Amino acid sequence: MNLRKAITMSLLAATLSLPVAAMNLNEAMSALGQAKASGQVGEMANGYLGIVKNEGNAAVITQLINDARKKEYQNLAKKNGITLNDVEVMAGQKAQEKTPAGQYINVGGKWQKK
Amino acid sequence: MRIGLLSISILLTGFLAACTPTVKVEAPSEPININLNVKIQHEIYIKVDKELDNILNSSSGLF
Repeated sequence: MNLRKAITMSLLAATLSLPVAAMNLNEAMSALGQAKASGQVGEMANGYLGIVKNEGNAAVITQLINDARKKEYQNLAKKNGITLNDVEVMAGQKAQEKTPAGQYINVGGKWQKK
Repeated sequence: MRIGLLSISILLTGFLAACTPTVKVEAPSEPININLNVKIQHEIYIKVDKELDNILNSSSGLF
Protein backbone atom coordinates (compact mmCIF):
# COMPACT_ATOMS: atom_id res chain seq x y z
CA MET A 1 0.00 0.00 0.00
CA ASN A 2 2.80 2.35 0.90
CA LEU A 3 4.71 1.42 -2.20
CA ARG A 4 1.68 1.98 -4.37
CA LYS A 5 1.18 5.38 -2.77
CA ALA A 6 4.81 6.27 -3.40
CA ILE A 7 4.54 5.23 -7.03
CA THR A 8 1.33 7.21 -7.45
CA MET A 9 2.92 10.24 -5.85
CA SER A 10 6.02 10.08 -8.02
CA LEU A 11 3.89 9.59 -11.13
CA LEU A 12 1.80 12.58 -10.13
CA ALA A 13 4.91 14.64 -9.51
CA ALA A 14 6.32 13.63 -12.89
CA THR A 15 3.07 14.57 -14.61
CA LEU A 16 2.95 17.92 -12.87
CA SER A 17 6.53 18.82 -13.69
CA LEU A 18 6.12 17.67 -17.28
CA PRO A 19 4.68 20.90 -18.77
CA VAL A 20 7.78 22.92 -17.88
CA ALA A 21 10.31 20.37 -19.10
CA ALA A 22 8.39 19.50 -22.24
CA MET A 23 7.57 23.02 -23.32
CA ASN A 24 7.77 23.22 -27.08
CA LEU A 25 8.65 26.11 -29.34
CA ASN A 26 5.03 27.05 -29.96
CA GLU A 27 4.35 27.24 -26.25
CA ALA A 28 7.53 29.24 -25.73
CA MET A 29 6.47 31.68 -28.44
CA SER A 30 3.04 32.07 -26.81
CA ALA A 31 4.65 32.64 -23.43
CA LEU A 32 7.27 35.06 -24.73
CA GLY A 33 5.15 38.20 -24.62
CA GLN A 34 4.20 37.66 -20.99
CA ALA A 35 7.78 36.76 -20.02
CA LYS A 36 9.00 40.00 -21.58
CA ALA A 37 6.25 42.11 -20.10
CA SER A 38 6.87 40.73 -16.61
CA GLY A 39 10.59 41.47 -16.89
CA GLN A 40 11.81 37.86 -16.81
CA VAL A 41 13.53 38.07 -20.16
CA GLY A 42 14.89 40.85 -22.34
CA GLU A 43 16.63 41.57 -25.62
CA MET A 44 20.41 41.43 -25.77
CA ALA A 45 22.57 43.27 -28.30
CA ASN A 46 23.73 39.99 -29.83
CA GLY A 47 20.31 39.20 -31.28
CA TYR A 48 19.28 36.75 -28.61
CA LEU A 49 16.98 36.67 -25.64
CA GLY A 50 18.55 36.93 -22.20
CA ILE A 51 17.28 36.03 -18.74
CA VAL A 52 16.73 39.06 -16.54
CA LYS A 53 14.99 37.31 -13.63
CA ASN A 54 15.24 33.55 -13.58
CA GLU A 55 11.76 32.62 -12.52
CA GLY A 56 8.88 30.73 -14.06
CA ASN A 57 9.71 29.36 -17.49
CA ALA A 58 12.23 32.08 -18.30
CA ALA A 59 15.14 29.70 -18.87
CA VAL A 60 13.17 27.25 -21.03
CA ILE A 61 11.59 30.02 -23.08
CA THR A 62 14.99 31.65 -23.62
CA GLN A 63 16.59 28.40 -24.70
CA LEU A 64 13.83 27.45 -27.15
CA ILE A 65 13.45 30.91 -28.65
CA ASN A 66 17.20 31.39 -29.02
CA ASP A 67 17.66 28.03 -30.75
CA ALA A 68 14.93 28.93 -33.22
CA ARG A 69 16.36 32.41 -33.74
CA LYS A 70 19.80 31.02 -34.43
CA LYS A 71 18.39 28.78 -37.15
CA GLU A 72 16.73 31.78 -38.79
CA TYR A 73 19.92 33.81 -38.55
CA GLN A 74 21.98 30.99 -40.03
CA ASN A 75 19.55 30.69 -42.94
CA LEU A 76 19.77 34.41 -43.63
CA ALA A 77 23.56 34.43 -43.39
CA LYS A 78 23.94 31.45 -45.69
CA LYS A 79 21.40 32.73 -48.20
CA ASN A 80 23.08 36.13 -48.46
CA GLY A 81 26.70 35.10 -48.10
CA ILE A 82 27.39 37.10 -44.95
CA THR A 83 28.54 35.93 -41.54
CA LEU A 84 26.25 34.73 -38.78
CA ASN A 85 27.69 37.43 -36.57
CA ASP A 86 26.63 40.16 -39.02
CA VAL A 87 23.06 38.90 -38.95
CA GLU A 88 23.08 38.57 -35.15
CA VAL A 89 24.26 42.14 -34.67
CA MET A 90 21.68 43.51 -37.10
CA ALA A 91 18.92 41.50 -35.44
CA GLY A 92 20.03 42.59 -31.97
CA GLN A 93 19.86 46.22 -32.93
CA LYS A 94 16.42 45.79 -34.45
CA ALA A 95 15.07 43.79 -31.54
CA GLN A 96 16.25 46.39 -29.03
CA GLU A 97 14.84 49.22 -31.13
CA LYS A 98 11.53 47.40 -31.34
CA THR A 99 11.38 46.71 -27.59
CA PRO A 100 8.56 48.80 -26.08
CA ALA A 101 9.24 51.11 -23.16
CA GLY A 102 9.16 49.37 -19.79
CA GLN A 103 10.77 46.15 -21.02
CA TYR A 104 14.38 45.14 -20.60
CA ILE A 105 17.28 45.52 -23.02
CA ASN A 106 20.90 44.61 -22.35
CA VAL A 107 23.31 47.42 -23.17
CA GLY A 108 27.02 46.94 -22.57
CA GLY A 109 26.37 43.81 -20.51
CA LYS A 110 23.86 45.51 -18.21
CA TRP A 111 20.11 45.16 -18.09
CA GLN A 112 18.17 48.36 -18.25
CA LYS A 113 14.53 49.20 -18.55
CA LYS A 114 13.81 50.88 -21.83
CA MET B 1 54.45 91.15 -103.65
CA ARG B 2 54.28 87.42 -104.45
CA ILE B 3 57.56 86.81 -102.70
CA GLY B 4 56.26 88.68 -99.68
CA LEU B 5 53.13 86.55 -99.45
CA LEU B 6 55.15 83.37 -99.86
CA SER B 7 57.60 84.32 -97.17
CA ILE B 8 54.76 85.22 -94.81
CA SER B 9 53.08 81.87 -95.36
CA ILE B 10 56.39 80.06 -94.82
CA LEU B 11 56.95 82.02 -91.65
CA LEU B 12 53.41 81.33 -90.47
CA THR B 13 53.79 77.61 -91.15
CA GLY B 14 57.01 77.53 -89.22
CA PHE B 15 55.46 79.51 -86.40
CA LEU B 16 52.46 77.21 -86.15
CA ALA B 17 54.66 74.15 -86.21
CA ALA B 18 56.71 75.52 -83.40
CA CYS B 19 53.63 76.19 -81.34
CA THR B 20 52.02 72.79 -81.69
CA PRO B 21 51.37 71.78 -78.13
CA THR B 22 52.57 68.41 -77.02
CA VAL B 23 50.01 66.51 -75.04
CA LYS B 24 51.21 63.22 -73.75
CA VAL B 25 48.72 60.62 -72.71
CA GLU B 26 50.30 57.95 -70.64
CA ALA B 27 48.63 54.84 -69.32
CA PRO B 28 49.01 54.52 -65.58
CA SER B 29 51.64 52.05 -64.58
CA GLU B 30 49.24 50.33 -62.18
CA PRO B 31 45.90 48.91 -63.25
CA ILE B 32 42.83 50.89 -62.26
CA ASN B 33 40.69 49.02 -59.76
CA ILE B 34 37.10 50.01 -59.31
CA ASN B 35 35.70 48.38 -56.25
CA LEU B 36 32.07 47.42 -56.77
CA ASN B 37 32.00 45.22 -53.69
CA VAL B 38 30.94 48.17 -51.58
CA LYS B 39 27.67 48.60 -53.45
CA ILE B 40 26.94 44.88 -53.62
CA GLN B 41 27.64 44.50 -49.91
CA HIS B 42 25.36 47.45 -49.18
CA GLU B 43 22.53 45.90 -51.18
CA ILE B 44 22.93 42.62 -49.32
CA TYR B 45 22.64 44.41 -45.98
CA ILE B 46 19.48 46.18 -47.11
CA LYS B 47 18.05 42.84 -48.20
CA VAL B 48 18.93 41.13 -44.91
CA ASP B 49 17.54 44.13 -43.06
CA LYS B 50 14.18 43.66 -44.76
CA GLU B 51 14.18 39.93 -44.15
CA LEU B 52 14.95 40.52 -40.49
CA ASP B 53 12.02 42.91 -40.31
CA ASN B 54 9.80 40.09 -41.53
CA ILE B 55 11.13 37.73 -38.86
CA LEU B 56 10.77 40.36 -36.17
CA ASN B 57 7.18 41.08 -37.04
CA SER B 58 4.88 39.24 -34.73
CA SER B 59 3.90 36.52 -37.21
CA SER B 60 6.97 34.43 -36.45
CA GLY B 61 6.58 34.78 -32.69
CA LEU B 62 10.31 34.67 -32.08
CA PHE B 63 10.49 38.28 -30.87
